[in-house]
Amino acid sequence: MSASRHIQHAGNPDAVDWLQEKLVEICGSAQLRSFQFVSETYFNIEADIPGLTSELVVIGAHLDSTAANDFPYQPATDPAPGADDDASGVVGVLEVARVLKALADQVKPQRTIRFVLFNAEEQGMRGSRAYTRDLKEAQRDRGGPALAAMLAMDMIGWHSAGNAPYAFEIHGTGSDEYKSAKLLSDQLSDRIVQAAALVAPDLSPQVHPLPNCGTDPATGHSDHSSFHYHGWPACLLSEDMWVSVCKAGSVGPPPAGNPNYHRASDLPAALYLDYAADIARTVAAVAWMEAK
Amino acid sequence: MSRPEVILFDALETLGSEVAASRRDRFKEFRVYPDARRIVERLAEQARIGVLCLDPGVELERLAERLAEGGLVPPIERGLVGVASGPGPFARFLRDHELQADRVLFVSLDAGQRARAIAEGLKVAPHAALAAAVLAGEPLQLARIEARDSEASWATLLREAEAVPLLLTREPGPVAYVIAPGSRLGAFAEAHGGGEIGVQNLAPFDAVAQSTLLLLQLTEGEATSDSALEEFLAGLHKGDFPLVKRIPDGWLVALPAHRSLDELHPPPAGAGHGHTRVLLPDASVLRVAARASERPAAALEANERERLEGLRAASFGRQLRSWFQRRGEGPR
Repeated sequence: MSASRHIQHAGNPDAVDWLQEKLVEICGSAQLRSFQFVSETYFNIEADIPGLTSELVVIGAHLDSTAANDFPYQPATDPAPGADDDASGVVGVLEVARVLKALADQVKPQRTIRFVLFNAEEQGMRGSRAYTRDLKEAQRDRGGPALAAMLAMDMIGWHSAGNAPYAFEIHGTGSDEYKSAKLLSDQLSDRIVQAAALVAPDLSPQVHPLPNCGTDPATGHSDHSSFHYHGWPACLLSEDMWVSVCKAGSVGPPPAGNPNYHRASDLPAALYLDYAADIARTVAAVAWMEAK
Repeated sequence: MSRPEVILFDALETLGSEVAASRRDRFKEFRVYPDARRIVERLAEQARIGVLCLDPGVELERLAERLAEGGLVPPIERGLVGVASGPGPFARFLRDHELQADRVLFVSLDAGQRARAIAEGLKVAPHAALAAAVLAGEPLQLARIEARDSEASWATLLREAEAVPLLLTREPGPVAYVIAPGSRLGAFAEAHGGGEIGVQNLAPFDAVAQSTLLLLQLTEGEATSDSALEEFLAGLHKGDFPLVKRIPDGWLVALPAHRSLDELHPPPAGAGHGHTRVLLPDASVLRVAARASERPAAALEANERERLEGLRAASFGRQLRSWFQRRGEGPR
């Protein structure tokens, strides 16, 4: 079986098929949303846990991968396992779906919980740009679903060695770039911190932007930003990896960057499953608190 | 110059969004964009309208049914709905319908599909809202608009310029990348010149019509000191990219359809996560998002916390294993 989910690799459609099946197993149904990129059709995957209203709490990650830091790199044939980036987030979404479905089977939530696996994030966030455009168009046309919160997981499986607590990052808008989304995203960040304290005490939340460190370095740089772009509250949860540019005299903590980032060496063996599960459980808690 | 007599819309992402049951069961639904019917009706006063799908995975009958259900047939002519694939997909469609390539305008968001159309002699537009301008022979322009008044309403400003936004940013200041009819953009620049609005023409759209437009935002601070990064950027200038331009927000690059975006992955010192943003025509961003009802987040009950405890490393590892072992790679 293929070891890449790059959009030019045969493993990408394979992954779409397999992940759709997994979401069908968990949620009962799942569908695909198409978009085009350089003459090919690609698919985002979405599945719902229906709520009493159509208001949405969205949980997402990206299914595609790349190993473009390996030179030379042939995307159609070379391996790009993307275990941390972003199989960790995708498995996080499946796991969150599993536990929230069990909760929803007991008590139907007020809001609909939607799981979305974006494609082509590594291609300029092309998949989530298409997805959010279509969601916005649907809002206008059919009085379609308002979005209460979006939680993205992108690279949640790696930390530098050491003892707990382990740093993880929360990125709302962090700047005025997306003014209309800022306040609600900041509130969502606060609730993630509270939830982590309840369900994942081994985690140490790092809310961005860090004090005196200006712009949130993740602004515009992962799928959550496609939601900011349309004015919706969204937060990204990730391992400790972003480099903050801080003002003179102020020192931001050095990120524990994954050395396997965008390389063929980004394999499952390097992941810290306790850590990844802690972040996913935090997302599950926040999503349930927003939805129920 | 001949005026197009037929407008063909790409079936994906121009008039509505497709919902597929699976990769092998396409067009379960077609959700027509709210402006689509109005735009198509207006265009139908000047040209015949069709839809051409260049994805062989789509069945013609299903596509035609969904367009009709969406209230688009008419003004779209059922006879001008087609699915084409393989080399020269347009030529066969044009021959079957007795159309001349230079009298046909193809509307597609995708640079790759536009490149195929141009190669076969068709005219192209990158968005439905810009089709009327191209039909009228109006050249389109790629531009960067900076609104120094941070309270500026992009919806108002861009409507005035008849511009379709590709990307809106707020740092270093409110900036919009747009494609607009050249004359409208010129009038807009003149009306606002010297004031709070700055308009920078970046390229005629024709020069970049076959390219994916990208904004590269390389890591601040490290970028200038890293010789490998400088070499990377110098390499971009030497490449066959129709547009490589340093702008205050980063680097604007037009990536030809035959090149891979992975080539724009600079040395790690200069490449932050998600350093590349695609510039995609999208007018919906100008509309205000519907807000969810305001209510405080609920507390977690003890039994709910207990259920969430079921998400642990063991279950996480099982999911990961079931995926990767299928791909011949198991986690430790």
